[in-house]
Amino acid sequence: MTLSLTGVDFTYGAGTAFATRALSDVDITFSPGEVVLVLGATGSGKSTLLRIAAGLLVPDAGSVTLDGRAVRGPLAVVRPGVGIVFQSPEMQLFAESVAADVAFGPRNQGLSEEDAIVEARRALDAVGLDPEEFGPRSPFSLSGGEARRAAIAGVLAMAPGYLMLDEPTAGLDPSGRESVRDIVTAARESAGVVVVTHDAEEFLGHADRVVLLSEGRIIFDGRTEVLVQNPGRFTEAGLRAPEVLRAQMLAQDAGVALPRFALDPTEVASLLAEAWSGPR
Amino acid sequence: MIEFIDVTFEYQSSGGSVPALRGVSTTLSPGELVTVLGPNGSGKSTLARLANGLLHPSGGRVIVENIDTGDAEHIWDIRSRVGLVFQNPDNQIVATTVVEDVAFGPENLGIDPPLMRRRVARALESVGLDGLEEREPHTLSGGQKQRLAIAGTLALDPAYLVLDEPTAMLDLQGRSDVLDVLATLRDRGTGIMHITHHLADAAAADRVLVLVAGSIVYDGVPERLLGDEDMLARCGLTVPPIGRLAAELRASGVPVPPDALTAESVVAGL
Repeated sequence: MTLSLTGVDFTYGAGTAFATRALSDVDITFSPGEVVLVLGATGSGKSTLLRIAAGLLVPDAGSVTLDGRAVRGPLAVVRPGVGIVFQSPEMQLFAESVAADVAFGPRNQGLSEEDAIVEARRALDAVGLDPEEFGPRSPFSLSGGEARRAAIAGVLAMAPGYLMLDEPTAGLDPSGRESVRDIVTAARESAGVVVVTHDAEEFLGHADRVVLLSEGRIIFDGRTEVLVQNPGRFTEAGLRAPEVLRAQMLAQDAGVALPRFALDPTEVASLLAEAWSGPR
Repeated sequence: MIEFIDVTFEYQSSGGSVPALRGVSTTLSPGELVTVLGPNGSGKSTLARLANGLLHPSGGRVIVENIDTGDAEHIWDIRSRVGLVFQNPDNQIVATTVVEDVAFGPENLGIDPPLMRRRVARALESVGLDGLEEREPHTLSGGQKQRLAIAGTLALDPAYLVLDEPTAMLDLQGRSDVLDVLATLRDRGTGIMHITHHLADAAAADRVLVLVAGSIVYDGVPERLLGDEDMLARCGLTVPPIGRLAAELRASGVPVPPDALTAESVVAGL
């Protein structure tokens, strides 16, 4: 099940004095089993791209296709469709219990109450919230990290073929961020995963592919490893490279000859230490 | 000085009272940059809201330059001494141009126009937004918007600035620009309390405060905290990749200081 955007343009407030071009001529294809990281500065069009891919916004030009078939309207309601987790999704928890909240999506997709409950339990398990313990609780009694996971479960319960997340770790503490990162990367077993964020450091080591957006255009689309070897691309996208990469760029500018760039701190340390002691 | 003296705070909910702070004592001095770290729900934001009398302690006292925040008669003196900046800049911007937004606070206090204009100009210069006076705030980047929110608070000429996760919604560049502004303000004598989830932000602080479950578990210089892995683990803090790189380099004999948490400080060791 391939999800493709072809020649997509989008302008907010088109035809008014406040028209703002958000995306220009965007071509991108997503595949199942892949974690794609979409990075860009504020206002680069990241969130718009996500909404168009999920069928929530209709492009002004170009097309969105799922397995070659043109898409019209929200893709969350079909199974398997495209599930989208918005920024601070816990603000949207509303039911009297976590179980009912998570079962709401599959019920809306037309599943029987029994089947929806089964899906809700599966989804809660997938985000590490024990359905027995958390199912009956009020969503408002959860901690920040638990509420975020419950909200993600609400989307996973709809068995999406694609899971799209907008800034999924924003505002969480380190342990909350780690558990959300684990959930997101594990979701690639059953779905194509697209993560939109401005925090390059957070997901870079977990993504198969990275897309850099700048002023509504894709300026890079390739394997994570390729981007790591070309960290100057971050700067072109108006972003700061992650500190570990920046350290290597600075070292190279200062004349330290590195054979290649790396992301893993241990690997970087040995590359730098070798280059540092090497010529002496 | 802001003094927190054996402060407890309990939120009232339908299930009874929930303790957010349990006997916290600490201070914030003029010209001091204090970074506050701790997991979600550890009481960090409560501490921020107690600092200017937005909340009042359930037990203990909060004193701002010898005035108790419980002293209703002087609450506006306290609020003008202690400025608060929150996470989402979009919720803190009120006007249609940058300069009007910064002028909103002093205008409302009835400060006379020539003084107000000087303060607004100085506030914009402090956060590096001078030259953007006539821009519409919604056209600014996230980092610029947050610096605008800080300028709006600075225009009230506070002696202390308390910021609750001001960089949470910013990209790395925006974050680094805000951190630079905080360091500049500290150097000019403002007392700053910076609440954050980013351990790396602590490296620039004069003092670090770590809260866990409503109690202070660390109050001291950043170097000692950053060099103590057991302490970091106990505080639920994770070392960012750049810190792990620094530690590995130190282990292989490269002279990198323990508080090196930026690319620049690590490479300086090479």
